[in-house]
Amino acid sequence: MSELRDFKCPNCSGALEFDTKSQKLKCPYCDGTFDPEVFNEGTDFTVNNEEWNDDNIIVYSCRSCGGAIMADRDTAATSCPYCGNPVVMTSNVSGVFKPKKIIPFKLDKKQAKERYKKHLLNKYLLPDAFTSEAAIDEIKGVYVPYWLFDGRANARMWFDATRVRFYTEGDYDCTETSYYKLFRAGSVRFLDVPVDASSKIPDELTQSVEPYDNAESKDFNTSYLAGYVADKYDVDVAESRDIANSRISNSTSALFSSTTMGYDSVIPTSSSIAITEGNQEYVMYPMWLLNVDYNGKKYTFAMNGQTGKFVGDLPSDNGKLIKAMALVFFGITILGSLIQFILTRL
Amino acid sequence: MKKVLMILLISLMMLLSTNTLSAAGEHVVIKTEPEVISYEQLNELENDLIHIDQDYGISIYVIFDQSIDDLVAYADDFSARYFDNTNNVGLFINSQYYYVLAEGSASDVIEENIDNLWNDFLYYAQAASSPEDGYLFKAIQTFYQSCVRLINGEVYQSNVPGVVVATPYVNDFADLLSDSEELELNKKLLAYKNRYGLDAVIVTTNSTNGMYISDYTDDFYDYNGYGNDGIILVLDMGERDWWFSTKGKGITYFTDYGIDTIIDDMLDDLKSGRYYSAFNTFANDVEYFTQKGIEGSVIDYTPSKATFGIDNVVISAAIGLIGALITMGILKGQMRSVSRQYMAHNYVVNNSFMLTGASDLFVNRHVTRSRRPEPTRSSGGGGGYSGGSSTHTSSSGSSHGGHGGHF
Repeated sequence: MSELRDFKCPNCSGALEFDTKSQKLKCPYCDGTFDPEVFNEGTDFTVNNEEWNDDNIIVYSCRSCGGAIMADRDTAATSCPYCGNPVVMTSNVSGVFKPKKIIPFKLDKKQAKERYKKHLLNKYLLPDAFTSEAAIDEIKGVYVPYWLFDGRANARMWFDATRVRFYTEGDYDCTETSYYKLFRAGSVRFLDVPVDASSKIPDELTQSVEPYDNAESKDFNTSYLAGYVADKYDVDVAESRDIANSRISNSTSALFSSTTMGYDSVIPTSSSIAITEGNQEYVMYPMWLLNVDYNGKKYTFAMNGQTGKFVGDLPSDNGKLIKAMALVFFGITILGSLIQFILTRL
Repeated sequence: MKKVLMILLISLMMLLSTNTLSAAGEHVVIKTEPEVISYEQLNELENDLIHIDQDYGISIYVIFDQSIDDLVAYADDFSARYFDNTNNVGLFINSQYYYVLAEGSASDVIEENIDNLWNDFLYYAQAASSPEDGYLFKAIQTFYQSCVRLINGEVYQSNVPGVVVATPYVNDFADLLSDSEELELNKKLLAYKNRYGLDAVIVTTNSTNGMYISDYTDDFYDYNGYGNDGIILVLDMGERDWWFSTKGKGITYFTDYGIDTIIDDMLDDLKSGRYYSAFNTFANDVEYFTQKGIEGSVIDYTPSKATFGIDNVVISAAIGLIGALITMGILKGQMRSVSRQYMAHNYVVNNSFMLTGASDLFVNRHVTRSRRPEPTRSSGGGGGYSGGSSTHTSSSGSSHGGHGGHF
């Protein structure tokens, strides 16, 4: 049994979608707009158990066009592949799966495509064919589930440091090395350290589009999901907490190390960083995912749906690379030889 | 080479009437009437000229004889018999003409200044009426002093009958050389002076009278009437020290490196007591160095010049390879934008960073000393020369180059 919800326009029964410009639900047919924070006109309906198949795939008929919609059991929001009618699996965003906050999309699909084109500019090694042949295979707005962790790190760190001074004494060159033992203790607080709670999207990708500004987050309402894809979390809190603590610990260590200025060498000898764990929160952050096919290979790009930060590794043209390296190598070799030749002739 | 000059004698005719032998010597023969020069004066002139002959290698003859008919034939015959020195100058006068015959390397300067020489001679000779007034004596003395100065490379100074200080170029106070060796060296250095205008002086002494050898050397040169350009070598046999000092053009021609080269050439002879040979080397080297200096290629230390070879290409290629790898790093880096994040700096709460404890404890101090490599100056070796000459100022206030050492 599965609880679903779709969003019909109260005026014309058209399928409502979240509009990034107005930050409201908008009817594409009658242009009616509705505040997602208070929109309760969605229609809840139930899909029968029998429709679950063995592979944890739920199949149901679109209430708008009758087409078969297939969804993963973790799916929290999707759209009908035939008519685009958005649907939210309410059972995946309620109870323990209900996010506390959500940052609504601020940038739409069109802007994501523009950022993608910009991303390809000034990349010398990009194969010429990539721009013309590579087609955007799929572009989707995804609400990525995140765990946010607060924490206070208490650090006690010890360092061995040296200061070196050179001077002359009569006919002697002297090197004076002074050795110090440094101690630093203190604390620093971290707020809303995000950890990607979905195993479906690579952590590298979600971490690369960071940071999100959690101050702009809204209380969760299923209406925000209308028109986007969302998954519920499938990585538990404990596992995510370790990732957050590791990042907190690394940052704390770096912050305290940076207070040891004025030495010629500083080597940490021992440290103890204790993290007092604070609140944790389940949230959804917006991200545009682009899949591009080129030469039979899939390239994934991601854009922060809030800030527009665009990331994605690009293929390199080895011919271009060799050409550039050869140019530099021979250029320097010939120029360097010429300069040395002239210098020896002076 | 002979230079013949003949000019009609005018005013001296008045003075001379009959031929009376007044006095006769090897260099000066005066037969005049009335007698205008005394026997004593004649002797003094004779002695002077003998010294000039020996010290400078210049033989000067003054023949004043009214009885000579064919002055030119007489002069030719005379020169064939007596002109056997490096430089020879003869002044022949009869009742009508005077005739100057110069031979040797300095004959050019005599020819150039013949009018000056004669005018000065005439200036005094015209006034002569008796031995007591000493005017003929003065005339002859002025003539040969001027000749010596000219041959020594000085500009002719009319009517300045200064005393020519005998400045021998070999001052062998320590008596390391025989008289004939001294004479030979002196001749050589005089020829050098005549040719290049620089004084090259050799001094040997058993003591520098308590002075630093450097000061002794500078002062010896400065206070003994040598010219503005020159080089002096002092050997202090007491301390077995040598010292070179240079002045004027000498500073330019004899660099620190050049001086070491000269002393290097001499050192074996000096150590084994072959002083004449050593000084001969000195004279030869000095002339050679001067010649080189005048040609514009002063002998100086030249750092071995770097040559272009395969090494330079290899170095360039190595830098090129590094450049190519850096290029690869930059270009490849442009293509990557996805990476795992290990820090959480973005999520630090503002002003939450608190340093509750900090101590910088000094533990100990360690000092390592290493002796600085001394700049080396080894005689004959390559290192230590910065090129050119280092100079200092002597007690007379003039600038000198040069340095010294031990042998």
